[in-house]
Amino acid sequence: MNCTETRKYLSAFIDNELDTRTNLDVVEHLRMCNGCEARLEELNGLKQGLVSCMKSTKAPQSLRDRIAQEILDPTINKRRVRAILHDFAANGWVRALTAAASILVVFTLVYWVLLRPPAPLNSGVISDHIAVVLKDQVPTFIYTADAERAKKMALFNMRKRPSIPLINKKGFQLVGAGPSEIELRNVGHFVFRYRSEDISMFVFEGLAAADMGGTEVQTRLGAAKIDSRRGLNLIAWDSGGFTYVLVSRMAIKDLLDKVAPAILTK
Amino acid sequence: MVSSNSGEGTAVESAVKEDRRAVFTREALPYLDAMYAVALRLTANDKEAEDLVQDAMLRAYRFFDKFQPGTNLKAWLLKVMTNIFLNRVKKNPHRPALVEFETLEEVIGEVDDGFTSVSSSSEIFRELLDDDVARALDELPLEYRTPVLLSAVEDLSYKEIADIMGCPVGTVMSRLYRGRRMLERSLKAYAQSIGFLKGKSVT
Repeated sequence: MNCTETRKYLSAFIDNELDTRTNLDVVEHLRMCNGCEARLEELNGLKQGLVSCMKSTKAPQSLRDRIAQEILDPTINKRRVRAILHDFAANGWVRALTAAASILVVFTLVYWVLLRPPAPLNSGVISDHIAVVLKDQVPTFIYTADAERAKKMALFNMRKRPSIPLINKKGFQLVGAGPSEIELRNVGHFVFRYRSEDISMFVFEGLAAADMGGTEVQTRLGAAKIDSRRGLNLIAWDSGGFTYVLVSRMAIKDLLDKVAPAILTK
Repeated sequence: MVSSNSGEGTAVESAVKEDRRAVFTREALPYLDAMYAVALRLTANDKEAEDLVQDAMLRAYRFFDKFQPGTNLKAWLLKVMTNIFLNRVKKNPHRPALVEFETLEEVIGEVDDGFTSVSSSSEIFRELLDDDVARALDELPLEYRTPVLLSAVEDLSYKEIADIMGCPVGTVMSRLYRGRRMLERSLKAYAQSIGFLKGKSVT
């Protein structure tokens, strides 16, 4: 077994999850190789760090009590409601009417805060942690959890900005976006909807389409790679220092003729 | 006759219920810390984590008769919780749709990932605070974060992790390998940024 192979197995090795044969091969290699031995140490250190992080987290006492109580008496909530209703009945219809009015107010508030359709995406919060703001048609991501880090991480650490014009035009609807990471690359992930089909677009710095697998085709965008895997169709091309990858269940032809040009054309 | 029969039935029923309650409290509740630790890193939010654990525990209690005695209870509880969590994630309209990452890995993974090992000792990871590890974990994509988290819970085999995630054992193995590498890289970058590696020759 060589170093590359061994390193691939080290992660499962520290978990004791290799079959006897592979395990022996790894042990054999480690005996001779200082580099892999050091890697093993690092991985072990990482695992210990993780275990310690998980172990140091304790459930709050209030949560423990709440669960114990609900298990002891699952009717606890029903009884509370019944008690409240009983109260109303005892105190006459005026109180009940007041309560009904306040429930209405609460419902209206809840509707406005929670159930109202989401604001259009050109400025809004995408999740608890990420805010996105469209500036000149370019989505900029801001992490809301920590303003300082947000600044640093805005636009998924890219030095330049990819061009994504014409969002929400030509029948396209941007339904979501977020920074993502694939194989340690910082990647922008956008999801469009077009005629009720979802299309994921990944954008990252560098010209990588040329190195990808698949079939090379000539398109209006220049050279592109197309591929189909697991029921998903895929096209990749390089443009302006960025690699664009479209993934969808839509036919390759539609992706090539309708989607890609619409997203790229200024 | 009839009334005595039904009375007996209720007595047996309540005895069984009593028993289930006692068994669940004794056997399952001790795993609350482990479940909360996983929930906290899955949601990266303490309120959401508490809700998730509470929902999972109550559902587990309701379906406790579905649990096969003799198998790993902790794994079963974590499976109940992970299912609830993943369903919520899928329903959230603001989250980018989950694409099949395997497919993307196949394609984008083939491109050089630019990973170079920074020379450093394993001591760094031992010296970093739990908070730093937690923060780095929160930044991992969910597909990788889940197996990495579960592998840090004691007494879970790859087979059990695969069962929790609903994927083959081979997928657990490869995602763990990649997930740990990503985590390592971000922790090293962090260690460097706070000057931890200063003085050591890092070039």
